[in-house]
Amino acid sequence: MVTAWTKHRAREIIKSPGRYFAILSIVALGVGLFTGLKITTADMLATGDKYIKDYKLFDYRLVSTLGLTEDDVEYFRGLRGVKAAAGAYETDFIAEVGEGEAVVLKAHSISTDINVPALVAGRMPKAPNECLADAYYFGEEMIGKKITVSPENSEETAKKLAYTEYTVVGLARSVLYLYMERGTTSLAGGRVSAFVLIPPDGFAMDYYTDIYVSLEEGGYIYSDEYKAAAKKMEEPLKSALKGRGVVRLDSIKAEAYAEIDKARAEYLSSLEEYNTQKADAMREIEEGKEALLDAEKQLREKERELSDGMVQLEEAKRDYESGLAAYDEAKRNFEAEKAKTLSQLAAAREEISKNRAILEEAIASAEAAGDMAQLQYLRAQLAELEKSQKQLDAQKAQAEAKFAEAEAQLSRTKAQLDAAAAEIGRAERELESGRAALDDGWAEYEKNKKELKKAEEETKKKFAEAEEKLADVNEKINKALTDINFLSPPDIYVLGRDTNAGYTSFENDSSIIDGVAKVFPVFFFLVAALVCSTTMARMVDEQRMQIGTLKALGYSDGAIIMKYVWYSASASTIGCIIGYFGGTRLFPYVIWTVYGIIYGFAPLVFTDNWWLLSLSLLVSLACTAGVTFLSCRAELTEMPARLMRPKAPKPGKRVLLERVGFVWNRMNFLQKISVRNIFRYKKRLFMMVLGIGGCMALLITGFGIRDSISGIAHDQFGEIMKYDLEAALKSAHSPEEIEKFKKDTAGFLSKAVFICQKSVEVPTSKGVKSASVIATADKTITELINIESGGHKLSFPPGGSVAVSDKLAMLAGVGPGDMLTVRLSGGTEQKVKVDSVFENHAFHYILMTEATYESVFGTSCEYAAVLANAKGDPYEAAVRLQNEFEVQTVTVTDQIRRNVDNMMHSLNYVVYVVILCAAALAFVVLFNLSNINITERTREIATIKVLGFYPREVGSYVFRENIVLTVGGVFAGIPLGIWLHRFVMSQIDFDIVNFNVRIFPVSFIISALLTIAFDIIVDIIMRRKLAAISMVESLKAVE
Amino acid sequence: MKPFVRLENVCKVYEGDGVRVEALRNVSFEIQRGEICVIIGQSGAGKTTLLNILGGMDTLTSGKVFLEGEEISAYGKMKLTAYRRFDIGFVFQFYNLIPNLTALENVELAAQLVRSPISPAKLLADVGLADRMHNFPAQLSGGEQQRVAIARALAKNPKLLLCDEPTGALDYQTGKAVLALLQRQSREKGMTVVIITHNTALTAMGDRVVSIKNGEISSVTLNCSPKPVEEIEW
Repeated sequence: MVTAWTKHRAREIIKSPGRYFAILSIVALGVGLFTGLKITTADMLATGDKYIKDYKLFDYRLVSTLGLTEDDVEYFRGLRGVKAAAGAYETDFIAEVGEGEAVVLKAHSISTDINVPALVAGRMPKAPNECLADAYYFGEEMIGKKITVSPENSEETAKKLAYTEYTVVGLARSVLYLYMERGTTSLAGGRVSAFVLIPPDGFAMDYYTDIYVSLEEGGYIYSDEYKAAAKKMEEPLKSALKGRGVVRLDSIKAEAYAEIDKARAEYLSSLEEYNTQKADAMREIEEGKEALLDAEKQLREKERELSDGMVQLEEAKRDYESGLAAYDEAKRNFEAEKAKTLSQLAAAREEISKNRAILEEAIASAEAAGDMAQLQYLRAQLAELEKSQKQLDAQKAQAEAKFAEAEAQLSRTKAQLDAAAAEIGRAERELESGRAALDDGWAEYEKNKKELKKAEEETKKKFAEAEEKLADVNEKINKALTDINFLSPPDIYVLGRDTNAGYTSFENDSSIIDGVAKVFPVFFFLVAALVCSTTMARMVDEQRMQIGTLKALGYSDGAIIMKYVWYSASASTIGCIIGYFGGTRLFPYVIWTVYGIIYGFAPLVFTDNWWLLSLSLLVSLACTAGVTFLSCRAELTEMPARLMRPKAPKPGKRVLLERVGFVWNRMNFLQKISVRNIFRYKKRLFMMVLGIGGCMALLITGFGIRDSISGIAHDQFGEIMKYDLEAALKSAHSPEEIEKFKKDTAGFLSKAVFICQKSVEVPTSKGVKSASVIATADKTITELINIESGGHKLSFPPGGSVAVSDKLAMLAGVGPGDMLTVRLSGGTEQKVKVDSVFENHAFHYILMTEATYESVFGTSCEYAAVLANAKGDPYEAAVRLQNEFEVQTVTVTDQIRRNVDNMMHSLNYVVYVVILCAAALAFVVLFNLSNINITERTREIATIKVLGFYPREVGSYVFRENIVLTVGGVFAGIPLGIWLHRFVMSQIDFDIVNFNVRIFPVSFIISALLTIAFDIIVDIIMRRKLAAISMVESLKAVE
Repeated sequence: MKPFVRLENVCKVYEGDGVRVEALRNVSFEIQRGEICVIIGQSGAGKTTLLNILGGMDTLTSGKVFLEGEEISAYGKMKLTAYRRFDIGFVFQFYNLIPNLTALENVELAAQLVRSPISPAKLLADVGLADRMHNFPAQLSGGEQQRVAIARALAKNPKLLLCDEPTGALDYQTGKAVLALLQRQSREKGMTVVIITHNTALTAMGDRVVSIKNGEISSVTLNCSPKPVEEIEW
């Protein structure tokens, strides 16, 4: 039933919306901030919980130094309390991405049971040579591109992967990496840049590196319930894994023995083969030697034959010579005889001829004379002559025949001689060719002899080598045998979620906001209580008459008190609900956006906490309704008659300032009024200073957070890490190579310092932290890494001690002179003396000299990285290094700084939210106070208007107070802001980051100007209200 | 003699929410310099409206108001403020002192508004509060407060002193004393005083008595021999 009383109460609100709204909004603000900040941690945990459940984060990770098999997986799958078990492969490798850019990636095998990838873009791999790439590191443009396994990888690494190229088919997040850090590696650079997820068939390993196990029992993320459930399974898993280790050892031993047997058999067969081959080869050489001897004998025989031929030839030659001489003589004799005979014959002939002619003449004369006798005689003479002639002719013919025969005889002899000469020539030629052949024979013989000798030597050498090899194999087999005999069960590790860096960091980092939530709400509720108290007190004051009337009408005290309690309670309930739903949505959202820099793994899950809402409601009701009740009770229980009479106005009082004559006397009455008004209502003064101071403090905190965080990139990469670029080299450099590198790069690098880097773990109060060790013999490194403490430059630590970055030193609880414990990758621990602690903002560093490094790590310093300053553009220098030198990767510091700066941009959200809260706080307080002041002083204001104050003077009469209080609040807010900022920064404690807790002077100025601007805005709005006050008010009776 | 204050056919109509109220209808009268004018009427007769108009606190619907020949009714907001500041002294029924200023400071508040104020300390001594000057209003009795209010009004050395039921919140004796003070000020300083009241007894002290009824002047009476306040009884 809507009674007049109900209507009255409803109208009360409509009549004074400003007052109602002031209570409502301050409560909304306080509750929003309180529940928003409080629930942020819960929301984050809910987000994390949902994420790790959706993507099935492992409960235990089992590792064995001997690797794990499918049988092991099967075994664990069947273990009681185990829900699922999955074998996994994992390896770090150097990859080439895009334009030959080398990065170290960690490859994990994809599983559908445990650690399921969260696909962000693209699709799941279908073929074994496809992969998902780290969505945090790669952009969508990577999809469809290839990731190449770099030839830089060791054979061992390359062998673990089945392919040399994997096509990126999608981008994914992995529940194994809740935050940005991807871990360390023994490969170049020491830091893993990103992960890739490859189907199990994409690996070529014959055993699993890990088994991930999820348990039947679980619980909420980080809850004790979860911890207990996990703890319960730790021992069973440990003993099971140990047992599996023994099994694995046996199978490895059996395998190894089989292999050794095989090797031994192989050895024996090779030994046999060797022996036969050796015998064969030796025999062949012997045979060769014999053949050589034969050849020698033959040659010698031929030599003798040849000499014999020579002798015979000489004889034949001599025979021929004498033959020829005899022939020549015979011929000469013959020629002489022939010539003599012939000339005798010719002479005889001539005689005859002459006689003939005479005879003929005589005949002719005889004839002519007819002397017959004579003639007869003559004729007989002639016939005689004829007969002599014939005789001579016969004689001649006979001689000629004789000569012809002799001549024939001679020419026969000559022919014989000529044949002999030919024969001799031929023999001579034969001998000559025989000689040549023999010479060739000898040459061949020598060659063969030499060849044989060489062959013999070679064979001997070859066999000696083979023998050595065989001996080696034999030794190896023996060593393997002893090794296997001494082989112990593997080291096993049962690693819970708390060994996953992302998981543990998230626990720490998600609780940060909870810490921040501690201080704000107290403050806001205090302001809310003050606002409510002053407002309600004013309201009750205003309505004295009405209250009196109501009482006179017979309303009970309770009913009247309830009216006011209801008024403030309804405002605060509505405000509380608005604040709760606004705050629990806005704050977690903004904070999660900022957290996205590090933990961007899933959209935020909003949660509700009705207990928190109830608590907020309770506190806000206490601060409003309770305060209303307390502050009005005195008034409300007075007798109606008293209430009907005007309340004696709160007397004016002298303030301390009046004693300071020279100030007071210089003030005009308006200023005096302001001063007295300020001190007249202490509660209001307190509320105002608290509200405005709070606004100022919030602004300082907001800007201070930005100052502290945004400068990190600049400080870390401009003031501390002063080098322009860092290059990871393909191989460690010797001192000569370092000199050469420096000389070759002198054209574009102004400074280069070679360093040796290593990742170590440092046990600290907050768990094990990973730190980078930087060692060098080059002490000028301090020009590139500026080690400072409190503005003093530190010198590079001397041998035997180290310089430690401040956050690490703080976490490890060490200072100069203390001993720092570092854990090496093998798990052994070393203690090293701390020489100094230097300022650093990101990551943890331990600096030391080469000598210290070698004594601590027991290995030599490998200079595989170089820090350098470029002469010109560092990007150009990076390109030159990449192209012209044996460099694996070059990181330009400027690029990192820009990336970090970009990330820090999201921090502006925090600043905006803080400004928003501050503005809201300032507005509520200023509006409320102005509103109270104006309504309370309506009469005063009307009076001074009647007295002829100009509007400006009227305004300043009211607002000077606001300005003075605002300025006071600003000053009060400075220490409050500094403290608040420090508190918030101490709560925001990220593991690897060390904030530079500071506030720039300009932030104070901006905060102050903003606060004053809020005041001016409120004043401008309230001036309209002031102008609306009618002067007639001054004539009204005092209520 | 030219009238010091002159009202010509002043009409004031309040309009709002369809309700039309004629507060003043054709009001015309004059006041001479140095006179004490008592405006008398019942509650709701329109005397407060008349006071508002005379004091420059409200505008009128039609008609004219002159002070020393200046047409007040033609003034804009700023000029009206200046008029209130320099020409008018106002005494409220409930004193309206600024609670956190001392008596002296309350007078100074007004004195500092004008170019040639009368010394606040002297004025307070005049009204018999020389030894209470540094007291805050809450420490003063009603009569004392009203005397401070009168001193505050006089400090500006106004041309016209407007008093709205100056004794309304005071007991008889105190009220009488306050009225006597006003009368003395008028007589001694030649101050033109307008007293608005529903108390007919006060008509005896006025040089001119303006009766107002239902927004109209019912009579204007000149009183040739006004009585000293001390002699008036009510």
